[in-house]
Amino acid sequence: MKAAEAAGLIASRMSTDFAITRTQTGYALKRIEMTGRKRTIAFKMPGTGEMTTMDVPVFRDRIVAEAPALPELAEKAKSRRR
Amino acid sequence: MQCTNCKGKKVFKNQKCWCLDGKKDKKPLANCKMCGGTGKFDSTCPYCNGSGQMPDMYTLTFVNSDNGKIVQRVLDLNNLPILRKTDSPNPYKTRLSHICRYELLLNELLDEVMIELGCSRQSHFLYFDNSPIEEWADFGSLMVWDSGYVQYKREPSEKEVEAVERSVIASHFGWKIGQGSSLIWEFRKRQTTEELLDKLYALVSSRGYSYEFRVTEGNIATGESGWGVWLVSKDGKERYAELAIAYTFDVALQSAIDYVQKDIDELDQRVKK
Repeated sequence: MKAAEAAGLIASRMSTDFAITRTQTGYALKRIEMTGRKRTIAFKMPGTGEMTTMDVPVFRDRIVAEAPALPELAEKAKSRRR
Repeated sequence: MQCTNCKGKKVFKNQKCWCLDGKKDKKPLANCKMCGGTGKFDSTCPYCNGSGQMPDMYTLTFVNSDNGKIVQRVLDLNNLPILRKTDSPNPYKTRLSHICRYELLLNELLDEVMIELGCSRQSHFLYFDNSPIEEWADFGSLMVWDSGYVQYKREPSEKEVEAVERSVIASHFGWKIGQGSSLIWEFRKRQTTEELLDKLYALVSSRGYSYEFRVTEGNIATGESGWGVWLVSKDGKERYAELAIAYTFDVALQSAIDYVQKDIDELDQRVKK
């Protein structure tokens, strides 16, 4: 299995709230979880230039699998589905 | 030919301003950059850049960046390329089914060009305007259907199909010219997925950021799902920046690499170490 194909397999197995990161020794598959907390961010509206604030949810990552290569990570993702 | 988007109008006048969106009092922002507080603005047609016209002829230029070899193809709206008519009605099950049975096989055009240039999808990325793109975005099988949603409940005449074909080709390539782009595509040697991941990792980790890159689902502006590459704090609590969004994994990685390489100084200044 090619690496890009493995990434597609991970995406199909993990729904949307996942992340693949590269580590020193290989790859980690993380589940993106909501903490229930929120933080306020300020930003300029691109179209109008108006400054505005909004509350955004705070997330945290939880490692669900690690592997030296993406095909192996995809195999592990199979057994770590929610 | 007349612009397929504005039909020669050049400017869309008195558009409702974005600053009114979601506002209960329906009062425009006094200092709005779009409308200056009037609530309305005029918008130049982005397809023709306000000329009201689109070219009748499109010269597509392809470059192999390894050796500088160039191949050109001309799409002449007065000498239209041959369409493929599918045997069965299109799968969309709409009342447009008759007109949708015609396709312009730009993918075959690209295949021929790649052979002439000595490139392949496995060995090269296709670049447009200095960004890697999925080759099917510009050179897929182009469905010849009427952008004005004319409903053909019968088999269209040859003239009707030709009119639609002209409009579809002009829309597909003409808006790029309207946006100031040249119709030049470049093939650049590509690395394998693993090499791209290694390169991005090396680029990001060499900067000493307290952030790492992660690849996750990316929401494309069309509403479709693709891949996104982000700089995120190592505990995942803070997303710093979107480095790239693309339909395919490899193009997203290459876009992120290009972005980091291009804007490394700015990133160095803005990202926490």
